[in-house]
Amino acid sequence: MAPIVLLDNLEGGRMSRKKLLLLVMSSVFLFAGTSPQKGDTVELQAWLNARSSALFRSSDKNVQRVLKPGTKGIISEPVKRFSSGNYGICIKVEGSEPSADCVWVYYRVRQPNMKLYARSNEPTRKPESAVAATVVLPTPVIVPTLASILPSAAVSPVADATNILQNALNRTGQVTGYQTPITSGPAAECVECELQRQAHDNQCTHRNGYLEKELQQEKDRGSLLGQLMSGAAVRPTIKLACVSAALSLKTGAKFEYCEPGDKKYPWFNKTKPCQSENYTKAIYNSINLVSECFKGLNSQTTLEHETRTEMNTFLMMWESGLQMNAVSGTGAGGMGQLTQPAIADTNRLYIDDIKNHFANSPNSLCQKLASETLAKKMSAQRSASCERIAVSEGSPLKNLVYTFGYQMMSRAHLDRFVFSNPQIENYLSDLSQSDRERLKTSLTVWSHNTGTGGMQTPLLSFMNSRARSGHKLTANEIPQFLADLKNQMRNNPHPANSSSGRRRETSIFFEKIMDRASNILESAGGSCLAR
Amino acid sequence: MSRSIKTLFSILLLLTSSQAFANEAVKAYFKEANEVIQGLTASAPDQKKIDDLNSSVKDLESLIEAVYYDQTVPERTVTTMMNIKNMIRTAGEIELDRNQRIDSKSCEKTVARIRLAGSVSDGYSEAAMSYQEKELIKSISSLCK
Repeated sequence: MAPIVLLDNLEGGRMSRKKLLLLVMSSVFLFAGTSPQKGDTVELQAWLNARSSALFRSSDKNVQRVLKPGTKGIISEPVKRFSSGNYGICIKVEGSEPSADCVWVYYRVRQPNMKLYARSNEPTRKPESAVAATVVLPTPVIVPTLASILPSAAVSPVADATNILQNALNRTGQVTGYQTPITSGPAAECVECELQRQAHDNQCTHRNGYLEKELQQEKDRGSLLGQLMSGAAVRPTIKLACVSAALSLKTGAKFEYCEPGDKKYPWFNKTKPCQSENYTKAIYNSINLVSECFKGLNSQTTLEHETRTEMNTFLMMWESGLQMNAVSGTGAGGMGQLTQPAIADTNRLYIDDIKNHFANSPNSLCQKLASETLAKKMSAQRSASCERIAVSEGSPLKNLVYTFGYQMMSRAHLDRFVFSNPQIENYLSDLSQSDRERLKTSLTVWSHNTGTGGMQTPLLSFMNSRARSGHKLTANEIPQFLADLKNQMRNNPHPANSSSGRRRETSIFFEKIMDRASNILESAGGSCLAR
Repeated sequence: MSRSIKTLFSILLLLTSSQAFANEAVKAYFKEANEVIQGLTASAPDQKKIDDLNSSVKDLESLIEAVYYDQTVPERTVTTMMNIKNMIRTAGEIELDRNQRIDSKSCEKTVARIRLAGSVSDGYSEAAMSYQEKELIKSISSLCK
């Protein structure tokens, strides 16, 4: 394609006054820039924000993604000219889905930041039918942080902690203290019936069906995720009703989408993905497969396996609503809302052991999880955030493995530094095995937000203050224990959690998990366990 | 080594009526533990060092047991003693790794586990650690070389 600044009729010979005048006028106009119009092709020369509407102030919060230099697209809407003389143009990015919307970029006339090619692709001196504009000054890109474009997370007023926790625990079936959840749900779930109902109730649209094509491709190529959507046999630990209820919940999370092969530049501000049969199967079977593969590694008994899987699922229900492409303002991404340190620690400490464990499993799907999904470690870099959410990068399976792995690591740490002290063991010795396991798992899940050190510091101090009087914790006291620990988090946190925002966030985290879990359990028959 | 730690703890217990003195004594423990661990790197690993470290851990456990239910001993002191015991236990495990010529990766993993004590979800925070804790972890890390 030829650049627009080429002028026609510049052949030698005398030039008439009229022609000279025209040339001067054209030059003035060309100096001022050219006018883009629908159907033209553009090629970006600088980083540019791609927006969902023709509003370009930072306060408009409509940035969907950042387009990199070299991106090409066709202007697919009438351009909008502003009083400044600059333009808003809506381009359909080359290679995007035919049904995808165009995105708005800002075209600055005096210092243009993109090449412009006219439909005819022929040289012309008329700006209206310009062939191309060559951009000479790259615009410094302003990449908005997610925090700057997302509303800050709403934090509900802190109500009486004991009541909330007691209420939440009661609703999860732990009516007296901290009993194992009620398991009196329907005897056997009709998974296919539930999936068909889901598919009927949740028709995908142009706006929320953006993952569907990739999911179908996974199915077609027979990848592990594809097998899980095609009916590979996975022993369920978590009920489909729970997964479906979580997926259908309205969530405050934001969603991003990464095109296959793109590791760095997600589309922002996507809608929640539609709850299609493929999507629901992918999430449901992935949770159950990863849980199954972790057996013998993060748990030795059925009690441990079920408790940890269920609590991990509650954690993810709160963190992401079980949506594979949920993101937060701090850069956390995916079902487990993994952050850079969580991924880095899991890579450094556990991922090799996890991979070996899966590879040596008698379950062929676990072997495939090791050889296919974990062939490459997840990058901890925030700039590679697509690895946390993209189907083409192994999501949701890889994200789940790291989430379970990080929980396993946190538990090992708390076991080592807190629970294994003989005095603490004595303090917990009156609890039944089930209650003790559930309490320890709850504290581990809580540490997902506080950090392991952020849990260890207040927890050890708090438990020591209780245990030194010789008192032993009983099941009935657990809700009060958790409420008091919440206050301890607020009043005597780990130094790194001592800002007012972190005090509030870390102290109410577990309460929030339980509150959401109890809502979901109501529609799932009182327990999320499939047995 | 275990005798010196025991002596320091005895001093600590005598001083616990004053929080300021107790704080100084806790610092002294960190210093002592640090010197012990640094000493490990001075020569080739041997079984005696492992035995010494394990013996120290047992001594500390006995001391903690002795003061745990004594309400006149500040809670902070008890918690610190537990943390030091766990760090020395970790040093013993690392020394065992060295003695058995387990590769350095295993050693680093053990160190990484103890470093997690200072981690929070939004990033590992060394700033949250006391100077003594940082020095102790630095010394434990040096064992892996």
